[in-house]
Amino acid sequence: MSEIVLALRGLTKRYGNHLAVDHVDLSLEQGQIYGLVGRNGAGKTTIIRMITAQTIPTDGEIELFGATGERELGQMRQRTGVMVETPSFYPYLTARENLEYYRLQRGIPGRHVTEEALEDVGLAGTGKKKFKNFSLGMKQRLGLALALMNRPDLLLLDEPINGLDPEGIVEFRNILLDLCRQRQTTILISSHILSELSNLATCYGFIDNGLMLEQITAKALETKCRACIELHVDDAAKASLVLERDLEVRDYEVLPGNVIRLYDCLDRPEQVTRALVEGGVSLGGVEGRGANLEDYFLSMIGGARHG
Amino acid sequence: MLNYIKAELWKVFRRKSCYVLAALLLFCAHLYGWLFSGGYFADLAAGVSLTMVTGMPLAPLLAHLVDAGSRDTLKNELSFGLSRGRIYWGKLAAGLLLGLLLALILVGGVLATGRLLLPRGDPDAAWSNLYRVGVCLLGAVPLWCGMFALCHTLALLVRSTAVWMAGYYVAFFIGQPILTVLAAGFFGGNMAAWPFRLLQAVLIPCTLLISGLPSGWISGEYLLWCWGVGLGWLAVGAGAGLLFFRRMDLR
Repeated sequence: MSEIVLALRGLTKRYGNHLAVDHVDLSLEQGQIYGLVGRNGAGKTTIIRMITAQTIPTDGEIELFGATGERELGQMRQRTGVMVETPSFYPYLTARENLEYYRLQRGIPGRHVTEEALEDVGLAGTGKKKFKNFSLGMKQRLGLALALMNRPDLLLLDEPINGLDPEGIVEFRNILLDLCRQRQTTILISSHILSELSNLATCYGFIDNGLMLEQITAKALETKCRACIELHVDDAAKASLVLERDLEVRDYEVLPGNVIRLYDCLDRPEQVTRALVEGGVSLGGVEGRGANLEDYFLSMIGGARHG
Repeated sequence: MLNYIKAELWKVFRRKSCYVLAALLLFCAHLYGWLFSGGYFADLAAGVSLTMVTGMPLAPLLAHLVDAGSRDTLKNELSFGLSRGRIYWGKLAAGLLLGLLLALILVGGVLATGRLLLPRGDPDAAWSNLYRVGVCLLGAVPLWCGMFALCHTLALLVRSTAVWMAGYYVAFFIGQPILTVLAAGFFGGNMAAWPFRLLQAVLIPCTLLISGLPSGWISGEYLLWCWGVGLGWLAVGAGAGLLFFRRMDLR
């Protein structure tokens, strides 16, 4: 069984009367890439801020690499790399100076660490350009460089690809995938760009109004979102027999309520319905289904609210 | 903690404004020394002992050198597991070290230049005035530290630099003198009464650096007042700072 890297139990944050995060439970195993999905203000950033000690939880427990006490959590946070919203650095320092400052502060030996981190994110050639003159994309890259500088076992990234150009997004994705494959780095990533998230995540957490609505693996989500023909029949057993015998269908599942999801014959629904009717099965309804991550998320939180 | 202080000092020494401020202060100190000296080193040394009070209005500038931008970058430090206590004390210690270094450069610079360029004058007076400079420094250091701790706390807790700096200057140079005058009225105008002296020393600590001209400076009681009030402000500033800083949410 994989090691639990991060576990949240009943994590809650209240700002006055506003409940920003409401008893969230979450668990991350080593090597997972966890996509935290939610609207603006859903509570994603607050969760990451609580994990990273920037915000003090109102209630609940954070367990990081098995540690829960305040002092132990502090030690374990040294095994994490964090990027929350727009990276902040000293505006009057260059990229190299900013990283060197944090290297000295964290007691990481060797100047080469700074150079390597800059090279990893493509900022080695920024020279004497001050941080205040950086574009948003360059700031994001420097934020990522800092997050990776201490070779973290857990990466916590909040909207990390905001401001990156298409090339930067691909590079960023490859860096994360390499980290995950080669070093078994665990990654918690929140993003609005769901299409990008779907290229990375191995499991998802859907959050809305501070509540964790659902946690699901990418595989299970794929199954749920997979294109299919949904058949509402009067007798599922009889319908299954017809499908297997007459159409040689094997890829289907029977759901409660005499519902059959058919993943074969997607291009010939008429043939399916004809075979079922000829086999003596009454059809209550036939529906084409299938969704991507975005559709799934919108249907979960109520697409109507988003127009 | 040593790594933290080292990094803070490393950062400050990369700021151009640090050198600009030091050069400007050094120029002003030399100009003042030259005007005050009357052409003799002994008089210059006497003049230097009067300049300690300038450390009080300089405290916010020094805090700004160390703490500018820190509120935004705190997330990088907290998320790496550095405790809020270490961050607070580390920046405070770096600022105090920087302040002491600046004071040594200014006082030492003016005295060294004067000693090289000016005739010594009365040797006894020169030694006596140098001794006075030492005692004044000894009294001024805790008061500077107290004021710096207060400024450091304000810089970490108040997002707007303009607001906290203006607040500091208004409180110490306008608000507190008004309070002291009101207090004097409360004590029937008896400004020698010890409760009034205590109130005045606490509320307007800079008066400690200008009140005892000139003989009152060279006394154990004077140093006791300075250390008591200075460490008091240091304790209050750091205590309040830590209390609020530990509970502060970064948003």
